Amino acid sequence: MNADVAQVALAAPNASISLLTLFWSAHIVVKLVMAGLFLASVWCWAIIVDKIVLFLRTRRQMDHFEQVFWSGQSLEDLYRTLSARNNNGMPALFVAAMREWKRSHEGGRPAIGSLQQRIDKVMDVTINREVERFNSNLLVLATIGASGPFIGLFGTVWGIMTAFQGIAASKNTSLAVVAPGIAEALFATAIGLVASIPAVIAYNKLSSDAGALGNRLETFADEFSAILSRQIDERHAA
Amino acid sequence: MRPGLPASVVLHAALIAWIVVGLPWKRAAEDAVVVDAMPIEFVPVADVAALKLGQKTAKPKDEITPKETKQAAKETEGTRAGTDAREEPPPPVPEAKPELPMPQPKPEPVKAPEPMPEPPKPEPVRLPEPRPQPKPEPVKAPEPKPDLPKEAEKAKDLGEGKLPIPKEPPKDTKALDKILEDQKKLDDKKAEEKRLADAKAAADAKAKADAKAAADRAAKAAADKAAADKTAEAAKARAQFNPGQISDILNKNRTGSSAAPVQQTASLGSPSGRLNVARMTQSETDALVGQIKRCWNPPIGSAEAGIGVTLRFSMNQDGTLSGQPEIIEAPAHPLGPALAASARRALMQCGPYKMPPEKYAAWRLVEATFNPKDVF
Repeated sequence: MNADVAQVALAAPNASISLLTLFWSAHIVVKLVMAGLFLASVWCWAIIVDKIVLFLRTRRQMDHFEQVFWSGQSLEDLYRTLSARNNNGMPALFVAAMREWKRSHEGGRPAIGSLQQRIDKVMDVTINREVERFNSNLLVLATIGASGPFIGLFGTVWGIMTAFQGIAASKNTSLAVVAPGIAEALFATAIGLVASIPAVIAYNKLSSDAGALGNRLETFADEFSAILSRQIDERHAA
Repeated sequence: MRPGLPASVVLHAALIAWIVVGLPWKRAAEDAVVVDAMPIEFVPVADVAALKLGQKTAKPKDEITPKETKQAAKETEGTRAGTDAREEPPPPVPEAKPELPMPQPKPEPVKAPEPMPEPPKPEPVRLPEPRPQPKPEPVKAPEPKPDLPKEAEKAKDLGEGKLPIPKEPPKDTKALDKILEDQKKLDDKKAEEKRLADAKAAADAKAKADAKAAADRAAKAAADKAAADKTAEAAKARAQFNPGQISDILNKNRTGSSAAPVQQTASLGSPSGRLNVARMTQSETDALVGQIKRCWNPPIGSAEAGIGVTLRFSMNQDGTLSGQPEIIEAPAHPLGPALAASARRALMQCGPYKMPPEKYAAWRLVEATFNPKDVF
């Protein structure tokens, strides 16, 4: 009879326990921790995306340059083409060495005595600059990866404290009293892990990529240095 | 030039949007999990007694004054609303709309099945009373009538036959002997009342509050007169007005706890609205609470400490416990664990419970709040 009516009247709003309500109901300290970890995650992913794009582009550029370099094209022509541009990576290395070579041959008296050392130095400096560019910001990933869980843990400890304060205040161990604090506490750790796990993985991957690219530059520098050295010796003899 | 930051911001914004909007499949799963328990409560005796005293003095149903019940309801809107509702409904409805036979017919068929599985007292006894109704009589017509008069005269004597199971547990507990005796008396009275009510099949509609009042009334009536007719009428009246009252209560409060005469309070409604509490009558809920109470021996000092414990348990269709009772809410008090353990023991000891099988959906899951104050 009236049961149906009663049921309708009874319909009550269910307390939704979404992640957002968890956040908004959290203590201010836990909230700060969560917000900080979220920003760290944003930063982290910005770096990851930047690095992935940079490495892809650099690798493609190196492939292209080596193809051109070993194609038998005149190095003079190549230098003329590249020197007009703003170069990165391998072309920058080539241009730096060639510029030093050119300058040493300017004027009436070519300075070829220690040209070999100068070219090596110039290429070293360029390599360092490039590798530094590869590695920049990778330490941020390492830092976030290492400290994220701890920051999250701090939020968790704080949340647990809140939960126990709730128990003490209500003198009741009901799940309803404890659960919100525990949930928000665990949420803080979850965010910490969400931020730090990609950071750690990306750091390992990206730093090894950066090392590989640096090695490739070194290898090219050695090869190019050998070519130039042969030229120098031939001119000496001549 | 640097795609990283925008890309990262977009990625995280998408993640948050995803969380806000929610995962559809996950949502469905969450909805499915929600289960509502039938809430029952033990309420301090003093408050309830005050309300009931007025009722008890009153005759069957006519005397119950709507004013009193209304006042009580107003005073205790939140927690007591249920009790008020129970009490209120009987007096006003009968007068206003004495003609609501519909509820009666249904209960009869239901009762018939019950007596068979549960020989004890409650249901079989009730059947005999309902003289007016031909159906119940054939089943157990002879037994009920004799019981009624006897009970009225000597509620205690009759108690043996009526409630063999419940009584045993109390005997075990020394501390509660007095209480148990009182309870037994009350139970007997209730049983009588219940029988009468059941006889008319109005049992469903009537609340437990009625049970106590009805018991007193019934006893008087029996002593004074055959009272069978009167009780039948009262039962009808209760049945009639109950539905209206229930709806009123529900509208007022999400969960109103109705305190039975002496011992129990049944709360109506559930937070999620999924529980069809309306179907459980006060007398039925009262019967469950009374049965549990008989076995309950709360630790000494727990009543003074003002602590309570909430347990949730599920039952099989035959009234036996299904699995272990689960502690939902326990007080952070040195006596808390002992109290919870005692409540748990009582639940496991007193089964199987006599519940109407046809309403299994309503009492499959029960959330019982034990408050030692109620017992002492």
